[in-house]
Amino acid sequence: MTDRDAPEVLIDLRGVSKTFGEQRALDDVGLQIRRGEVHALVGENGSGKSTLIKILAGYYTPDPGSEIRVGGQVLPPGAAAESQRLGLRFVHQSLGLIGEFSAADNIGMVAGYSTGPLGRVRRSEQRRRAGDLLARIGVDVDLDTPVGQLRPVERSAIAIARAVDDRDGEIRLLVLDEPTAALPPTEVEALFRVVRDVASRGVSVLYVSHRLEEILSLADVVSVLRDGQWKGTFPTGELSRESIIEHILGGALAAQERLPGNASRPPTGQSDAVRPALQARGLTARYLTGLDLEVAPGEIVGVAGLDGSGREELAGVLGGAVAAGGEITAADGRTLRRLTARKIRQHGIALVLANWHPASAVREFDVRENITLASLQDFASSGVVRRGREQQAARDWLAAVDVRPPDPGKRYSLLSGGNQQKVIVARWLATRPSVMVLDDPTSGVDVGARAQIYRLLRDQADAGMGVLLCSSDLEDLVVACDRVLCLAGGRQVAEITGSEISESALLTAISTIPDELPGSDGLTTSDEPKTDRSGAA
Amino acid sequence: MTTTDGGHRPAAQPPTEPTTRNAAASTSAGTSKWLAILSVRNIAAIYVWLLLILIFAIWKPDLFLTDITARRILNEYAITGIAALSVVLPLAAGVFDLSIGSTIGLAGIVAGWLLGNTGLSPAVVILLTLCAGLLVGLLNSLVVVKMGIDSFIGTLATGAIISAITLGISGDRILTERTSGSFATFATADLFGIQLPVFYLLALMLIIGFVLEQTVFGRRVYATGYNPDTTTLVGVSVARVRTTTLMFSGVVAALAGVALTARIESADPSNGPSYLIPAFSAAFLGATQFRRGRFNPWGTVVAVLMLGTGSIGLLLAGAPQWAPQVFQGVVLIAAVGLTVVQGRRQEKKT
Repeated sequence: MTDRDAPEVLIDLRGVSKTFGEQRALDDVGLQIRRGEVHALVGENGSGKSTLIKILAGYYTPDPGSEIRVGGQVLPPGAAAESQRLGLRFVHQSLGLIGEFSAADNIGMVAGYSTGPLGRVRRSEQRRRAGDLLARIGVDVDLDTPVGQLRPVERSAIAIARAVDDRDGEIRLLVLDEPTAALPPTEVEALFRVVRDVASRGVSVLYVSHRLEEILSLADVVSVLRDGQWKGTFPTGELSRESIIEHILGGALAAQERLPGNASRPPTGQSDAVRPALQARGLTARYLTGLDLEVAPGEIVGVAGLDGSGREELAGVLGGAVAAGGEITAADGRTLRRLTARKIRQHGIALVLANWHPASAVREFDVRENITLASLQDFASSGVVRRGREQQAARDWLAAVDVRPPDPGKRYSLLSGGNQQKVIVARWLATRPSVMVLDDPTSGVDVGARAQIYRLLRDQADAGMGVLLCSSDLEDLVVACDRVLCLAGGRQVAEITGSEISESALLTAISTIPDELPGSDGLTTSDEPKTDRSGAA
Repeated sequence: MTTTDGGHRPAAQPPTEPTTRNAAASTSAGTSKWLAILSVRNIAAIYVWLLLILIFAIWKPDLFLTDITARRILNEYAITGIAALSVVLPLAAGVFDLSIGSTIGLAGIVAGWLLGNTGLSPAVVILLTLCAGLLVGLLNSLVVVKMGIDSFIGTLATGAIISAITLGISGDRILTERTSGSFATFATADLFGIQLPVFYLLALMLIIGFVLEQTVFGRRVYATGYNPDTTTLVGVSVARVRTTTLMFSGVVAALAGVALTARIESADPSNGPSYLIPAFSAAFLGATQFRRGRFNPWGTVVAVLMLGTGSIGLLLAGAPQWAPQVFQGVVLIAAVGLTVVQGRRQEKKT
C-alpha cells in the first residue's frame, strides 16, 4: 500500500483542463493512476470529479493542450470508442440496468449476445458467459430473475461484471462513480470484496465517493480535487478522516461569509410558546428510516446528507411528491397521515424543487402563468381569471424576487437557471405558506442569484415563515441556516447549531458510516416502504 | 446578472407600486406585436387557406368562386368542426379521446332508435342523446383516469366497444323513422343559407376559447397537459381535470352525431369513424396556430375551414372521391410535423 513506486503508471494525465462557457470545471489537472491500485477520487460537489470521469469516458472533449495517456498510448480526446478500446470501463451511479431484464440479458445487452444462425440468441451460451463473469468477481446471482427484484448490491455486482467483460480486449481501468450511494450499509462490505477482487487481477480502480470511511478502508491512494484543481495524491496510510476533509475544503474553510443575523440570534425553535411551523414524525421512504424533525416559525433549518442518506428525498416526501410513511403536523395544528400533495399544500406547506427537476415548473408556460399556478384562485372571481390583476401580481412578484427584466410574458424555459429558481420561489411565496421546503434550490444557479435567494428566504423567515432547506451544497447550508440536521443512513446523526455550522463540521457529521447506529442493522426487505417515486397521482 | 440594487429588500408581500416603464414600452412594442401575430409561423394555416382559395379560384373560377360553394363548405364541414372541437379540451389536458368517431355513430343510432321506438319529442330525444355522450365520457374516464390505462389505447378500446353497441342497437340497419321532419330542423334550418350546425360550431368555439383562456379551470387544463406532476404538486386534482375534459368530449361528439343524423335525415351505424382523422388533423394543425403550440379552438376552426376548402375544391376540380382523404392525411402529418419542429426549435433556444 505504501510503496507507491513499484507498479507502473497506467493512466497519466497532464495539464487536463475543461472550460464550459466562462466556467473552468477542470484546471490543469495532472494525476497518475498505477496498475492494480484502488485510487479514490474525492472532492466537493462541483469540484470537477464528474467532469474528469466524463473526459476519460470520451463523453467530453478536454480543452486543447490536455494530454491523457493510457499505458503509454495517447487517448484521443472525446472518442468514447477509443476509451473503450484502450480498456477503460465505467459504472455510473445509476448503473444503467434494465430492471425488467434478467442478469444474463443485462450483461448480454452490452457485452453482445452470442448468436447462432439467423441471429438467434444462444440462451445457454449467454447464461454461461454471464455466470462466468459474475463468478470471476466472486458473486453468485440468480441469472434469470429480473434484476429489479434483486438486492441493490447484486445489481451493482451485475453492472461491475458487465463492465469487466474482457472478451473484446483487456480491461485496464474500472471507474466506479458513487457505487455505494444506493447501498444499505450492510451490503457495502460485499461490494468492497468485489472491488478488491477486481484490483487483485491487475485492473486499476478509480473509485469516486463522498464516503470517507469507505475510502479509508478500501483505497490505496486518494486524489483530491478542489475547484477543478488537483490538490495532490496521498497514500491512504498517511490520511485520517480529518486530514481528508482538510484537503477537500482547503485551508480557508473557517472564514465563511454568513448572512447577517442568523449566527448571533438565539435559535427561536426552542421556545415552547410558539407552535411549530412544521413537525414530522417517523418519515419513512426509500432511504429514510423513521426521521423526526421540527421547524419553528422564523427559523431556517438546513438538512445535510450524502446521496443515499435520505436528504435527497426528504423535501419530496414533505411536499407529497414521494410516497412515504409517517405523519406531518402543519402550522395550523392539523396532523396529516396520508401525505398527498393536495392535503399538504392546503395546510400551508410549500415545496420548491430544484429548477432542473422535471416537476419544478411548467416549462411551456410563460413566467406569469408559472408564478400564479398555485394561487390562481386569488386572482379569479367565480372561476374567471382577472387578467389585469394576475398580470400585475406577476410583475410585482418578479420585482420582489428581483428577476430582471420583470417581463411576465416571457417564456419560462428561456430564463436562466437562477431566474427560473426565483420564479419557482415566487410561485410558492404567493400562496403565503407557513413553511417552505426547498430541495437543492441553488443547483445550476449563479452566485449572485444564490445570494439573493437566501436573502429572500431570510426576509421571509423574519416575517414568520419556517424554512427547511435540503441541500447537497454544504456552503449553502453554512451561509443560510440557523441549524442543520445531518442525515446518514436515513436518520439524523447530528444537529449543528448557529456558529458551529461549518463545512468541515457538516462533512464530518454526514460522512459517518451509519452502520454503528442503533436500529439500522438487519435491513430486511419486508419492512421497506414503497419505493416508487410517483409524482403524479 | 446585475445585483447592485442593494437598497431593494423583498418584502413578504409584493410591493404594489405601478410599473411605468412597461406602459412606455408598450407603444413601440405594438407594431412588432402585430408583426408577430401576422407571421407565417403563427398563422400559417390562414395563409395556406388563402392560397388554396386562390389556386381553386384560378383553376375553376366559375365553379369554385360562388356563394353556393362557400355555403357548401361551411354546411358540410360544420360537423367535422364540432368533432374537431370535441377533442381540443382532452388534448389540451394531455389525453387522447380516440372514441369520438364511435361516439358520433352511437349518438346517431341512439337518436334514431328513440325516435323510432318512443313517442318522445325531438327536443327530449336530443337531450337524451347528449346524456348518452356524457355516459361515454364517464366510461372513458373510468378506463383512462381511474384505471390508469394510457388514453391512446384505452379510448381505442372503448371506441371499439361503443361501435359494437351501436351495431347492436341498430341491428345493422339504417334507421329512418321520424328522422326527417321537425327533428331534422335541428340541423337543416338555416339563416341566409347557412345551416344551424355552423352556429353550434361558432358557439362551441367561443365557449371553449373562453374556458381555456379566461378561467381557472382552463389554466389547469393546460398545466395538466404540459406537466401533470407539477400540477399535482400545486394541489390540483389532475384526475378531476381529465375526467371533466373526457365528459366534455363525449357530449360534444354526441352533439356532432345528432347534427349529422338530423342533417342526412337518417341514422347510419357506419357513420362516425370517418370523422376521427379530420378531427385530429384539425386539432393538431390548430395547435400550431395563434397560441404557440397550445391546443385552441380558434386554430382548430381555421384548420377545419382549410381542410373543407381543400377537399371540396379538389372534388369540384374533378379529383377522384378518395382525393380529399389523402389531402386530410397529408395535412395531419404536416400539422404534427410542424408542432414537433416548433417544439425542437424552442428546446434549442433554452
